[in-house]
Formats: sequence, C-alpha cells, structure tokens
Amino acid sequence: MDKRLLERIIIIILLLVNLFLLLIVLSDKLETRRNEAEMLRAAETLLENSGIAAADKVFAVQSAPPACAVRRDAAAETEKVTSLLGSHSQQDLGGNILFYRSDKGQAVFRGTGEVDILFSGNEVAVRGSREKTVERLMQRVGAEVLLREGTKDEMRVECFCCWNGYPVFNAVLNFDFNDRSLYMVGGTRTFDIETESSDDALLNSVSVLTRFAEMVQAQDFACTRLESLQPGYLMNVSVSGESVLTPVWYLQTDGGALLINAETGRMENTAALKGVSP
Amino acid sequence: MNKEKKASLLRQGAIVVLLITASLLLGETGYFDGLRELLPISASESRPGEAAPQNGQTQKPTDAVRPLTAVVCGSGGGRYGAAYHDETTMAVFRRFSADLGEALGSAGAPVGITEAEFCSRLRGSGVFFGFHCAQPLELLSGWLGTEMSGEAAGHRVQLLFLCAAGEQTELCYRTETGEFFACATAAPAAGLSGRTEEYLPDGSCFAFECGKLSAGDALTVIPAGQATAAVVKSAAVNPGEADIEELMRGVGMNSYVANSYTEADGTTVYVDETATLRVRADGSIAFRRTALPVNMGHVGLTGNVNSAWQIAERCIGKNCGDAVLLFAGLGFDSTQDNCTVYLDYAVNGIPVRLASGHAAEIVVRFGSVVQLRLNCRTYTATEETKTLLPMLQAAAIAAQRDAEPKLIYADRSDATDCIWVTD
Repeated sequence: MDKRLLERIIIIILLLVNLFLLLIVLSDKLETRRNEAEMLRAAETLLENSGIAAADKVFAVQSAPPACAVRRDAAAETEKVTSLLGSHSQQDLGGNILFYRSDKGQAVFRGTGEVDILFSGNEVAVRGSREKTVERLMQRVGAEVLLREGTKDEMRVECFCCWNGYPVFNAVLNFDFNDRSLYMVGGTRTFDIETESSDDALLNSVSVLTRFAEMVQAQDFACTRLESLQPGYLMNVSVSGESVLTPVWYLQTDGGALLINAETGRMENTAALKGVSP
Repeated sequence: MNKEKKASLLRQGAIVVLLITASLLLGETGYFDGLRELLPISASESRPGEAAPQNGQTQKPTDAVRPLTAVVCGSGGGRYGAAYHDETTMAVFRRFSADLGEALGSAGAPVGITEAEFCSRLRGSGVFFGFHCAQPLELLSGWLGTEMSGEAAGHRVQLLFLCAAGEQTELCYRTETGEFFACATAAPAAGLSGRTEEYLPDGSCFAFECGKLSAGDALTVIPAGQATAAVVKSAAVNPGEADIEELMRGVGMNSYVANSYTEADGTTVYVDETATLRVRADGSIAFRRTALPVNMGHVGLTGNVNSAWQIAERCIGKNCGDAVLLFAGLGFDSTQDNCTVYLDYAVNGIPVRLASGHAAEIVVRFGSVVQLRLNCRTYTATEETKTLLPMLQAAAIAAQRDAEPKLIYADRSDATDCIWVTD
C-alpha cells in the first residue's frame, strides 16, 4: 500500500480513537459533576434534617491530602538555620536536641518538632506589616506556612506549618515582635523530607459532611451551625525525628472545633489544638 | 526539503501527537488504574510510618515497645490511668514517646533516690509507664529514635516516670533490682506539662495513694472502672511452606540446597551444611546453627534485638491473629554481640503465658540468628467478655505475698483463660 495512504488511514483512525476517548472522558467528568452535585444536595438535606445550618462555602467538593511519613534531615535543617542565623555553631545536647548559635541569635531544634529561636538585635526588622515580614522570612527559609487569622495579640503572628499546601493543624509557629523587629519564634514545625506516602481511599468533603451529620444525630457532638470545612493534617511524632501526617478535616462550628480523621471517619482529639483554628 | 518530504514529516508528527494524546486520554479514563490493580506488583497497604494492621501483616521493631500500664499525672494531683488495655495505653504512649526518647537520649548521670522520693515526684506533672519486663534503657532509647550513653544506659527498667522538674524534664525509674534513680535531662518541660493537662482525671491511682493497701508494690497502678477482658480462643498454627522458606532465608539457610525429611512423629527437618531447622506438628519450631557466624563487626544491642524481632515477626507475628508480639526479656554479654531475645504474645494489652515457655526465644550473634525456638499460636478475641477480680482486690491479695499482681492469658493449649498471677 502507498505509504501516504497508510499514514492518512492511521491518522484518521487515531483521530477517531482520540474523539472516542475524549467523549468518554467528558462524559465521565459530567457524570462525576452530576454525582457530586447530587451528593452535595443530599448532604445539605441531611444537615438540615439534623438541625444544622451551614455556610455556603462548606458545600464544595474537596479532597483530603494523602497520609505521609516525614522525617527530620540534618542537612535540610542546617540549611534552614543558616538562612535564619547565618554562619553558626552547633551543639548536640543529647536526645536529638540541637542547639545552634551565631551572632544573629540562637535556636533549639528538637526531635519532637518543637523549635525555639531567639534573634539578637534587629536582625529581622519589620518591613511593611508583621505578616509580610513573616511571609518573607519563611520564604527565605523555604518553609510553607499559612497565616492564622484572628490572633488576639497584635505583637504576635501565628502560622500553621503546611505540607504540600495543606495546613498541619497542630504544627503552629508563633512569631513574637517588639516595636521594630521579630525577636522570637517558637512552636512546632514539620520535618524536612517525605519518606512514604499512602494512596489509601480517603473521605472527601461530601462524605465528611455526611459523617458529621451522623455524629450530631448520634449526639457525639452538639452544634447548630457549621461555619467552615478545611482539609489538612495532624502531625504525630512517636519516634524522635520521625512523624506521621494524618489527613484530617477541620470543621469549625458554633459548638467548637471538630477534627474528623479522613481515613477512619472517627473524631480526633482536639485537645492538642488548644484554641487553634484556621 | 521538498514538499513531499515536508508533508510526510507532518503526517508522522501528527501520528506521534495523536498517539500521545490518545495515551493521555486513556490515562484519564482510569483504565490504566484498573490494569495496574490486576498486576501482581502492588504497593504496600500499610499506613506510612506505622505498623501495618495485624492479621497477616508485619509490624516494626518499635512496636515491641508496648507498656502494659500508663498513668498521666496532672499538676493538680489528678490521674488518668490505664492498665492492660492496649488501645488506651498505646494512645498515651504514642503521645509521649517522643518526649521519653528525648529525655532518655539527653539523660545525665543517675542519682539514687528513695522510694518515698519517687512517690513524691508522682504527685507532680508527668507520665508513668510500666512495661512487661525490665529492659535496658539504651534499648528503649534506640527504639524511640535517640542514643543513650552513660551509666543510666545499662540500667534495666520496668517502671519509669517522666516528670517536669522546673524548666527541664527529669527521668525517674526503678531498676529490676528495686533501686530508684533520677536523671536530669536536657529536654524542656513545657511541652510535657502542656500535654499532661490534656487528660482529665479519671479516678485512677497508685497503690500507695489508695489508702487500702499497706503492703505490696506501692507503684501498682489501680485504674478506675471495672476490669474486664475478652474471652480468647487459641490454637496451634502449622506454618505454611512460604513461611518456612521465609524463615529459612531469615536465619541464613538456603531453601534450595537444604535437604528435608519427615520424622515418625510428624516433625519436618530441614538440614544444610551449617544448620538444622525442625518444624514440629504442634506448631513449635527449633533452629540451631552448627557453625557460628564470624565477627562481622559490632551490631549493638538494638541491632541484635531488631534482627531477632524481624525473624519472629515474619514467621509467627503475622500469623498470630488478634495477638501481637511483646518484648519479654533480654540476655547479653558485655560486648552486646551475643544476645538472647525473648518475646511473648499479647492480646489487647494482656500478655499470654504459654505452658511451653515464650512465644520466641532467639539467640543472636553479630546480628545473625544462631539458635531459636518459636511457638506458633494464633489467638482470636471473641465478643464475649469476662469480668475480672478488681485490680484493687488483686493487689491486696498479692500484697499478702509482698508481690505485684499481673494479669495474663494462661494458654494451656486446650484452653486460654484470663487470670491474675503473682510472680
């Protein structure tokens, strides 16, 4: 057969195959959207029947992030300290507690994830707002953070550490300022390197709303209004320098905050959050 | 380039582009995911960083660290306690294990204290753990991710209390010889104190506080609430061929080279040049290496224990049903290169005591197994529960013998019963 004719036939076949696959993909997406809309309507009805009013923004289909294991890395940590304190000395206090010191200040990094940093002088001067100063500093360090709104103390900025864009609700850093500069950072950070990730099926936002309604109906939790729903992580450090990030859904209600485990659907203990809310 | 050639190149380019877009669209349809699931190569289903669920899947050596009792002591003297309840004790342990690891790794020289001084410290803010057996603190430290050195590292401890002492934490413990020590640490106390305040008192107490016991172990934990235990059924397990092959690989036997034969009593024997493995019909396994391994360098205590643990976990740990393996003791020489590791089964936080000894007894030298005995058993916790003699009464009876009460499942092969014992 003539080569040109063969090529044309192949192109026509491939065009038809692409069209066919495109139709399948589009129809799948439409079907998914229809299902999601239906599930959202069902969730809304379920919440209404349970006596719970909900903010509109709650009714959006969102996915939970995957569970992962993250560990501390000496090199990455040294890099972060260098970007904060410049050239520094290091002292091992035992128990994976490292003390760093330089002319610009000092820092303690622990295997539990807790950090304490004290700046000397006006090393991190306020430029613009305190929030912008914190954002610039964290960008310099290479750490992902999410500013927490509603902090009562105007001389303090609170941030959630983030992992792959999702807030870790019990990894909070507090940035304390005086009139001119940042002088102290304290709290819990996320570790440096991801070692494992899971692809287990997780509850999406619609399933969580259903689960939440069940909890209220079973009187495991009391509230009348759901303000917001946000995916994120809880960090658990059971072995020094190693943490597991558990995907959770954070629900803010008029009855308080609620954490639902995105893997098991069970309520998580919010005691560790201590008034923290996104 | 002439027109014809250009047109041909364009057509070929179009074919390549269309092939790529077709592949991408095929990926979008999800048919690739379905194909991947059909393939035998699949990702592990365990959750990152944690032990896989039981019933056929293995756990990590750090899971051997399972306290039998846990008490969170609040600053106001309140107690939140649990004993022989795996879910609760492990939840408390995981909450504080990183603090404990940090304290162990940064512990200073131990200072002798009296029992009264230890009890006095229990009135402050901290967390108390009681383990199944005395274990070297350096082993506990290794499992929790830190390194311990100094005099305290060699102390064998079954009870310890991590408390806030001013700005730092203090590690207090009782050795297997009954002496009490306290070590200052470099770990800050703020986090520990904060975490202890998360727990509401539930009425638990120590024996020395409850006022009804004048003798016995003052540090026996008396939890609040009624003591119950699940009724457990047990049975011997005959390891399958795949398990035997994996065991042989683990102990360094070559399953392709080893000869096997069956004895009159049904025991299957595998023999190669350097070792013999006997698998009995009652589920017990014995292994002995005739040629000792050469010195391959210092492995250390944690390395040796972890080697033993992994062998046992892969053979009996994954087939024990609702039970888990629990660290039950350790013998080693001054070099720490020769170790004997003992493991027991435990169901829901209650250790199992076999008539024939431990679940596993493994002799390790330079990280290689030279001898082992395994008892392959499986346990099923039924829905039925048994109400036990309250801990306080058990402690009172044990006090008459100046001993501490221990709760166990006594596995007598034909029946398994949950009882209190005093040792």
